[in-house]
Amino acid sequence: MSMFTQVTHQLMSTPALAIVLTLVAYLIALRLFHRLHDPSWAPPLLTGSCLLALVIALLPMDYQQYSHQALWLTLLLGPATVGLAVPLFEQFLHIRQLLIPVLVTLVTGGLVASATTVGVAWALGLSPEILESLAAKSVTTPIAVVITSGLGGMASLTAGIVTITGILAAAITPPLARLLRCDDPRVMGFAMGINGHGIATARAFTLSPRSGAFSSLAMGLNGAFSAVVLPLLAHWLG
Amino acid sequence: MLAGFSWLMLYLVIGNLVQGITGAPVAGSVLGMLLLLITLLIGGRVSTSLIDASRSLIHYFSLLILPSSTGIFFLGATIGPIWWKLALSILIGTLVSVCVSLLVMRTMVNWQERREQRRGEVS
Repeated sequence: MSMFTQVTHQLMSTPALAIVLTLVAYLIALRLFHRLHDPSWAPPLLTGSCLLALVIALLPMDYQQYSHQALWLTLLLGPATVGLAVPLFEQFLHIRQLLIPVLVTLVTGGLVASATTVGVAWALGLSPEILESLAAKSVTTPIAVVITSGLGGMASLTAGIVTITGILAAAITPPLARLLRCDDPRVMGFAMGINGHGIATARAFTLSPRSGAFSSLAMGLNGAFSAVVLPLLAHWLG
Repeated sequence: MLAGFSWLMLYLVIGNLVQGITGAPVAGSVLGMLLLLITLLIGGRVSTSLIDASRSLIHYFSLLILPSSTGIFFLGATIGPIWWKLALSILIGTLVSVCVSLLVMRTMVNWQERREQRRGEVS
């Protein structure tokens, strides 16, 4: 066993190395994101994941070991998810003003986002485990990961799918909205938040503050709605 | 900040408790979020400490998810042969649901505004 391998094994016996690697990958990804003037096609989550995967592949440790040690960070997703109640509460004024449009769009949009994707995947003959990992694709990642684990899918696959979906929704919603003459900032923002969660919400804020507010509202509502409805649907259909 | 964080952890524990007791197929953290939202709506206001705690945690969501999302690069054997089917499902699913959400939201907003206008004319 080489000296290097031995030292790495020593370091991997505590979570410190895994946490430092994650923090550094995130900070580099964040700096890159700002350097490129905040492009929606390269969110820090995507570039950070690439960087981190590269480092794990180069070091003599496997992903299982890493993710086990990084649990110290992942555990904070619990209180962070609970914390989503606060912005949701702050956005509640908008819900009250447009209660019926918001609820109708939430239910149809949230269900269609999941059903069409799972439907196409099912028609292409993908396995149940993959279908379960796809169901929460439009939901904000922390909630999506929780939903997928509950359904029995692969959480890391979902995290990747959610990121890709967010980038796609952020890119296609504004041109589609112009094409379909739906460029009211409230309409466009709400569609972005339902389909593209935080990544599309960040993009919506660059278009107009109103779009951003409606997008974050839609993201939070869809997270709560899907987290309750998808497991129940899977339970009844399963 | 610390008080706010404690509240978040407390609601997480309550959420887990409710999940354990009812056996609901919904995550404890999501139940905790819904319970906190209900509490805030009943109380009608939110403390600065809770705002600080939730803002700082939400600000670092990407960081907290990074360990999970990195896993996609180590799923090669699982998704290698099916990647194009996955990509096609995501593309079609997102395209359809973006169009549906845009059209439904526009129709509903127009409907509500026409209704309010009519109501304005009557009164």
